[in-house]
Amino acid sequence: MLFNSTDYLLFLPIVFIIYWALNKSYKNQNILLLLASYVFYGWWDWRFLSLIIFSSFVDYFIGLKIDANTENRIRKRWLIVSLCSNLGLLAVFKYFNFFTESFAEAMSMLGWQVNALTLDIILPVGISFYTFQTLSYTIDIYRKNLKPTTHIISFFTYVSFFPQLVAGPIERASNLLPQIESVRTFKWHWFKAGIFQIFIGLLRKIAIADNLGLYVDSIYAYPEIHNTSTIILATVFYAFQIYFDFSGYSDIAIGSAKLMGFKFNRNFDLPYFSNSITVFWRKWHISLSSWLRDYLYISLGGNRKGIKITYRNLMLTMLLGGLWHGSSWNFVIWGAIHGLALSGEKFIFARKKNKYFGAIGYVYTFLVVLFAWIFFRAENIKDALMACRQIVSLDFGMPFMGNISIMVHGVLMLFVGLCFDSYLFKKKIPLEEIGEQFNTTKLAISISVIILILCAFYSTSENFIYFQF
Amino acid sequence: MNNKDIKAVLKLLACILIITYIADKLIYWQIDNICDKVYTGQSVGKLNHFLSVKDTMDVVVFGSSRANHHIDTKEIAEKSFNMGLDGKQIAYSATLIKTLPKNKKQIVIFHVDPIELFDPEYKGADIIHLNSKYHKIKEIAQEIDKTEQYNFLQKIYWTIDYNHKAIGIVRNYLKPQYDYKLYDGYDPISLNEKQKKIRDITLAAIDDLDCFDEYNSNKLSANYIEDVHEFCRTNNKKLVVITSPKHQYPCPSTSKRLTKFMEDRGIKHYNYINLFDKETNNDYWKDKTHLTSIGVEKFMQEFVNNMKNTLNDN
Repeated sequence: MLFNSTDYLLFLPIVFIIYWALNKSYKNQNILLLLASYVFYGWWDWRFLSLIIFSSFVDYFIGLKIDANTENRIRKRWLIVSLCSNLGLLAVFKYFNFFTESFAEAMSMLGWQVNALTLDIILPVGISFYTFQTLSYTIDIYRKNLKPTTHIISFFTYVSFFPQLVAGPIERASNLLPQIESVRTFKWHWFKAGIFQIFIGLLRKIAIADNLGLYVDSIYAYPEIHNTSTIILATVFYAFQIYFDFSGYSDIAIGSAKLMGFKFNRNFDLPYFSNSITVFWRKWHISLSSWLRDYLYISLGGNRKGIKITYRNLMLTMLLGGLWHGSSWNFVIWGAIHGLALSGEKFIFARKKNKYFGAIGYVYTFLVVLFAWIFFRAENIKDALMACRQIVSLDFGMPFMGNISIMVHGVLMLFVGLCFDSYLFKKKIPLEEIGEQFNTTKLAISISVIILILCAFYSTSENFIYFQF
Repeated sequence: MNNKDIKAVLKLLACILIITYIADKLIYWQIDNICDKVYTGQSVGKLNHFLSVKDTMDVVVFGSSRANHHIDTKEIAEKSFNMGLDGKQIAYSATLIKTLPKNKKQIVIFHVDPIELFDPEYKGADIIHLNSKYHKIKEIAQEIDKTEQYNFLQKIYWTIDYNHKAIGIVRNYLKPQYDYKLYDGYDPISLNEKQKKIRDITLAAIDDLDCFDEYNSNKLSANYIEDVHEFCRTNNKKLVVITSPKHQYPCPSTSKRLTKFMEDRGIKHYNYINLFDKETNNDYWKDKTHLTSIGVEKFMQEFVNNMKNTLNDN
């Protein structure tokens, strides 16, 4: 089920009403959330529910086993079982074809012809997200940062909780499980904040991102025929498309959870207002970047083993972070660009008193991020290199406008989105808190304006970009 | 959740519903007033223009951008109008054909491509481009409802009728793009030097085109064509289905199946999809599916010659 579908428009209020009607027992509420989450996921393809259930079972029992053993060797063995089963699922469903094809290509470059064994595999929606979520659970227990839950329903609800099931935010057990295992009370100010954030999310997704996407798709379908200005314009639009698409999704997720009395962590914090790539990664997809930092970068040694190892760790973390997004060399290159920029900043900051670049840093950061988006957006390496070639050809003619109506709607909606974000940046107000500051009339007017903008300017899109990861 | 909370939630929802309902109708009424005066522009203006002239035309052309750019209506009849539009397929055109006057003798030229008949994924989504008439023309509303392509919120929020159209309407209202009285709906294509270079790259590229060989005709598309055939038969219209040239169209079997589909139903079909296969002149083309005015000139000679008998009958 998609957040921007009319199905969800009916699903959410129904779950909301039944959920609060059951507020005498949080355990009954959890059962409802579990069932609702499975319906939510099964709406897309019920067959893949078995994967979530399998993953939940494995990590529930492994969590208990790790905690029950005091001997480090046995705890480690259980952790490895968890890592193998979770990463094994990812490897089969997400990376099998990629690795076999890459192997065959590498062999053919060496002169050996090998037929790539590829399987006709459908990528289960959300597998990268819930796999990372369950992994963090067992790793935290192994590190003795978390006590496992003994309530199987609670754990299953944690893994499959519908607002964050298919595209995050990747909520840690340490934040979400205690909320699942305690009584939730309806808070009016949370309701106001949640419903406002849901509508802002819808605005960002279907009025801003989807309108920009129409132009971007038309340009990136044939990068070879467009001039420098057009490719740059399409890439700038894509930078905002993916931001508003994914942050919009996160807003709807966080808002929906709030309606049920759950507080998720922020996933985006105005990332384009960053004056270095280091800062950018503290503001972009925060739940993933902090996951990579805590479970990969630090596990590799972080910055504790000398500067060379730090560079290696940064590169590895970003390369794997890129690969997490999809089984394509495009994502690996995207990760490499960010890894290089982060390493470069580490090098410069080690020699500077100030750990920031100043105002020019905003421009530098946006340019690096923009360059990396070319690889993220292009269909394949060939198209990405073609787009880069067109940019360096310095053919600054008039950019291709395509359908004027699409362009005008895209620019207008982008303007609305940027004004709103600039307001948040200037006032230093987190989006999560705006709704609760409004009285009923102000909130009703604000949401009504958003609804009318959506009616006039919404654009239909098949999916959220991050569903493919 | 106590009674106070329930009341607060209901009050908020009631406020939103009342405000949006009233504001929506006011906005709709404003846009609708302006819209009625707009006769230029591809999204709403051309539709308004068609609705205003359809009862007086002898020949009317329907179809996608290929109809729009390929059929020079004036070559066929003085009183003619080309209602071909970018992105429109069978559902959109068939719905408009059914709005033609019942008793006036007319020739209906319906441009249909093989993909439109055999694409199994086609669900008539192009009909939503008639949304601006959803609350104004009953027949159109019925057809939109029938395809289930409407947004159910449209029943409450009427401004959805003008989704993605309002800015274009206002722009064409304030500054019409052309003199619509001189416009017959046909839009010829000519290319500048840069576009020619892009065209040459596009024509040289090899496309992995799905010929839909394993699929029967799409039920919805087939029903629409049969409906149109029946409508024309019973309402004094002559239906001519045409498929204009494509550049080196690689699916001859699909093309033949389209012709057979029409023949089986007794529908006159002129299939020119491979007309220029032996020509090497790139000047005929804008891309693999669209002819330039040079290509159209050559194509129209062929088409008008073949159409002569039909015209004489009329």
